[in-house]
Amino acid sequence: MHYKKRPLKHLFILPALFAICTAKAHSEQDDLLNLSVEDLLNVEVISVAKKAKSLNDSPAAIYVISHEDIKRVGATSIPEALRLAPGLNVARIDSNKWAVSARGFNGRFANKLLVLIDGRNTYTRTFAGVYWENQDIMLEDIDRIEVIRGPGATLWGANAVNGVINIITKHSADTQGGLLAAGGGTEEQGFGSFRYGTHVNTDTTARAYIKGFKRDESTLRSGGEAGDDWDKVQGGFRLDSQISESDSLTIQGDAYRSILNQQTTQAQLSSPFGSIFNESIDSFGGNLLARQQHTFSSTSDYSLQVFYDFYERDETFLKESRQVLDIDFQHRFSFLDWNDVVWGAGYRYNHDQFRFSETMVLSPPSRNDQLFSAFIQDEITLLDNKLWLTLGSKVEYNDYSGFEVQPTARLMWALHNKHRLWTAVSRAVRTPSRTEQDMRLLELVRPGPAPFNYTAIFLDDSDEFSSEELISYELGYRTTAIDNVSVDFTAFYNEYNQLRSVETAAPVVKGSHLEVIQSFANNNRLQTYGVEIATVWQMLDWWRWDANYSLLKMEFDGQKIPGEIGLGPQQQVSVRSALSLQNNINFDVFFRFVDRNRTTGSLVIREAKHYVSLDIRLAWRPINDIELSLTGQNLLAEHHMENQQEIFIQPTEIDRGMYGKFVWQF
Amino acid sequence: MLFILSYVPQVHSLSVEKQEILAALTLNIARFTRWPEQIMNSPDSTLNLCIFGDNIVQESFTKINNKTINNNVLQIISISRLRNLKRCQILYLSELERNKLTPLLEELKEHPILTVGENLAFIKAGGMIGLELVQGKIQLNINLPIVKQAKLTISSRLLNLAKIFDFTPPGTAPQE
Repeated sequence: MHYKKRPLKHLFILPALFAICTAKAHSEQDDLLNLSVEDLLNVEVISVAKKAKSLNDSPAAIYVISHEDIKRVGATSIPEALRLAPGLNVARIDSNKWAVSARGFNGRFANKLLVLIDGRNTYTRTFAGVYWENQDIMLEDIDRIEVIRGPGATLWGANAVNGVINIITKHSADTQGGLLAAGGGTEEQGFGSFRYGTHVNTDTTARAYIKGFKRDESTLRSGGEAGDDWDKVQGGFRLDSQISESDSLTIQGDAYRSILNQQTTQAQLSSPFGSIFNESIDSFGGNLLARQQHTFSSTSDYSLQVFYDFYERDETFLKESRQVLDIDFQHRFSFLDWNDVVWGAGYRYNHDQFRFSETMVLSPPSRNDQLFSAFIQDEITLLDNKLWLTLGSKVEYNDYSGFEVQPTARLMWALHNKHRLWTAVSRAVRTPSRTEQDMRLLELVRPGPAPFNYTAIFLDDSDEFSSEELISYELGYRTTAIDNVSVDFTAFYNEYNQLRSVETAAPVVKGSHLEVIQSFANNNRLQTYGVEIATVWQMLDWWRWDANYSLLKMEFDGQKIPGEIGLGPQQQVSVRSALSLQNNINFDVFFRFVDRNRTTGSLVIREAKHYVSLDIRLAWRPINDIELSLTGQNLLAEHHMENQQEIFIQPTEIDRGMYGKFVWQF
Repeated sequence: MLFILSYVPQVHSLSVEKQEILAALTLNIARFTRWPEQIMNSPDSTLNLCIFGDNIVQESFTKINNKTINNNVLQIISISRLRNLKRCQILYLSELERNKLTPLLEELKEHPILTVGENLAFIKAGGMIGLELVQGKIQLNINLPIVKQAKLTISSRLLNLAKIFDFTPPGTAPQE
């Protein structure tokens, strides 16, 4: 056998194989229809992967990351799994912090993306974003992740401005038996997880899991260890019960405790006016969710969901604790033969408590706020099986910005069995956060200018800071016209108004020092536009390629973009090759290119250069229930930077790493 | 080069993609089913086969459109919403969640509509024919009481090839 033939020879084979594979398919189908029933029941059936053939019917820029994709690429966290979607900028700030956004505006405190885990909103009102280090589940239990770029405000509410990420775990009936996973390596120093699922009675299934890991520190751009190693332990459960013919109930919960290390830089009002120190942050939290689904008929059902979520973290400049109680009701029904209506109502209660420091003060230190919302959406069938118009709007009232209305209109045209065309116009709103309205932050202290001792720059709270607004126009096209290839194309044009701006007042003399007060206002306007393309090519039954591309352009009325808006990566490319050899060997190669970016919301320019990255995973299944794998991550450079945090953290680079993993299912 | 060629899956005529088989089987099952007289002898002599499923399922059925079944012509209707189902003589349901499937099949019982689904759970939810992939081949499962309730008859030639079930949902476990 000649394994080491030059790769170029393989390239000539590929188009030939492409032609052979498509030609074979046509003759088979005609033969089939001439077979008798007896023969048909004797035919050897193969289940071919569907991804290169399926067309989504949703009038939105949706991409579904499957359970299999997450495993094959060797992702060890939710943000890493999100790298597989087009149009998402997933940047690792350091070992325990991530910045994730869609269509621009990325930073640790990114505020334009809504993230749900099994219907539980992971958004924190503190900075209107997500603490990614707190959001974790057993990745083996994920069924799929739906990534929707663009405003999802009508269905999911405010803050789903640039996108919605919906993480859905498997029904407990699909995770029966035991699963033990363990491994370790250079960056993923050690990890283990165990899950067991069982039948409680004929109508009820449940599972429980426990997991833990320790992750190594990264490298500072200036050289040296970044002091950002961390560890975490988390456990949880899920119970699903068919309590009657028309009712199902799901109860699930998680609890975690994590020790996060970081090297923090902080301004201070006495010489030397800044300090760098290592700290260990104690972070813990938990949640409990219950959801009931009731079916009236095949065309009418409702769901009622309640969840409670709490977390607490203790950092030098901030100690915060937050509790959320959320109640959500949704009813779907068909009306007059050509309408499919969904309507709902929700209530959320937030309670927080902050302890302040010299650097950060929140007033009031504790706040209870409420959110009331209602929405309605109608999918109107204009032409049976061909053309649908969706109209909807969400209305909410919150304690920060009052009433908000977020309407949307979407059109989906199934012009042909292999083509889909859709377009949408939406308005979405990003409501203010606690820190924008209530925080006073000591950002920076500089010595002088003479005769003053120092100049202190503060970011002051702004009660008048109100919601940011987006009007978004989208157009999308999907096709499976070429055999074994699927293409999904989206173009968008976004107009942002009332975007957060930073207003700097003139220095004020305060005795022996100067004070500069900056404050947030809503004086920026911005236009962004771009495209996102996702393609899948099932080259051979055992070799699949995925390629994604996204383009993002930002326009500030023809002028230079202000620093606080940041700059999203103009282009991102990812290519994945997935080889499935001999039924028990998987070999995946995942390559990415990300353009340079500037962190949003930073008061000084924090830029990360463009970079390329390569992850490789080799997995072997020696017997059916055991899988061994070796994964290399960030292989192209010893360390590289993806994003700089807005404040407090020095520029940090992500290290190259490798880990081995063992999974046993029983 | 030899390495690559040795991995090209052998094409022999007895190994076919699942969705294609299911469509061909549905055509044949229709040939062995008798509907009440007024449907079989209706003036337009068409038998409507309504397909509910994603674009892959719908496409696999396009090849059996306009095929003759005894004295009738098979007309494929792709549906994306579960409405207006009384016009169907055969209803093929791919991937419908259990909580929607059970009430739907309950509403359709006693209507002369042959219901076909893709697994055993379909039978348990009240369906007539469940086509299940078992060890690389499609197995035919038929729940006779539901068929009889809809005033349909299935020829014994087909019944002999099938695993017969005999129960009326909800609740009770199927007995063979």
